[in-house]
Amino acid sequence: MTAQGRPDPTQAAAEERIGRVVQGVLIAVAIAAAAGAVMGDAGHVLEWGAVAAITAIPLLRVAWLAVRWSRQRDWRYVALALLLLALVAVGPVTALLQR
Amino acid sequence: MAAAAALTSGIGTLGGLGGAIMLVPLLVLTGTPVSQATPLGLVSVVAASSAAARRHLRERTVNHRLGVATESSSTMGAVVGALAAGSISEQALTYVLAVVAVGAALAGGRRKGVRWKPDPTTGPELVGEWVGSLHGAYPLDGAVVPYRPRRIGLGVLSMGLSGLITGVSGVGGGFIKTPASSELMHVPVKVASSTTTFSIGITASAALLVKMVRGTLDVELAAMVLLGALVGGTIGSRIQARLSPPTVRRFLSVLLLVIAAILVARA
Repeated sequence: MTAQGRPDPTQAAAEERIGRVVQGVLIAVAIAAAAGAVMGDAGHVLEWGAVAAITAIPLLRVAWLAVRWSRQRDWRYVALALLLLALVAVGPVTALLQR
Repeated sequence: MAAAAALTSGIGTLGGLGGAIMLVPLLVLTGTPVSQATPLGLVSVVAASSAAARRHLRERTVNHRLGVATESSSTMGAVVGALAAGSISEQALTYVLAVVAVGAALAGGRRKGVRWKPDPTTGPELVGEWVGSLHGAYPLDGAVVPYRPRRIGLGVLSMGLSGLITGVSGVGGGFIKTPASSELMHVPVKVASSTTTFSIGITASAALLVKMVRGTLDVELAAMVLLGALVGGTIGSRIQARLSPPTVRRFLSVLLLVIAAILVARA
């Protein structure tokens, strides 16, 4: 368990790791978006893939934070992260139900 | 389209405001229908937020706990705002937003110096966000600056208000969140800006998912905006890392005045 009121000692390495993952995904997204734009109608799948991936990044980052904070037993912030993800889900679920 | 997204995302990331508030009016002025321009603005915010992530994480200026805590309040406000959208005059609300932007610009622009100074007794092992609290420390010019956000209740309330405004008017809340964090909660402006860049990406993602489900996103234009915003967000976060906190704050003040002018023009 990490001491309260101090940074988690593994925080810097973990943030560096997630930063590298995000950058890798962004490079793939940029290539897919550029290829999709060049290919015209045939590239729509690539463009949709790029937009879907970029939309997922911030939400996956919150899920990753919830996992990290649960390992630190920082339950208050785990609850807030899960509440946030639940609140975010309300919009698209409501839109789906209204279709 | 890509160039406009790069420019507005770069400026938005620099001040931690998101670029949609500038991109959407620009697209509308150049003939894009509002119904198409709004989702494209959201794409630009999500892309720029993610593009800035690597730099902000490396700089250790994002306080995720602060971002998640305030974002929960904003999202709740946005849901309430979306439900109440029909009962509040959008024009009156836009004028209120312009006044808020001018007030925030004056508050940040008039302040001299920095609140949180480097502390020689704080070692590099304390850099980052602190477990169990919203406190933290960030590196600045080889030194470590500890900070303790204040007036958390007022800050969370103002974030809820920014969400409410987003829900009612569709205007992104970044221009309220960064000054509220910096001027109300006394979070260092660089931390406030990086944290808001992280949190507005979440709000925009949530709204973009709705647009995708409803089928109101033009994916060809979105791909162009995405490419531009990735470039702009990367450049904006790199420039921000090199600027001193007072310079970021002054830049933010000027940007807020520009946004107030855009809001009045929209109203």
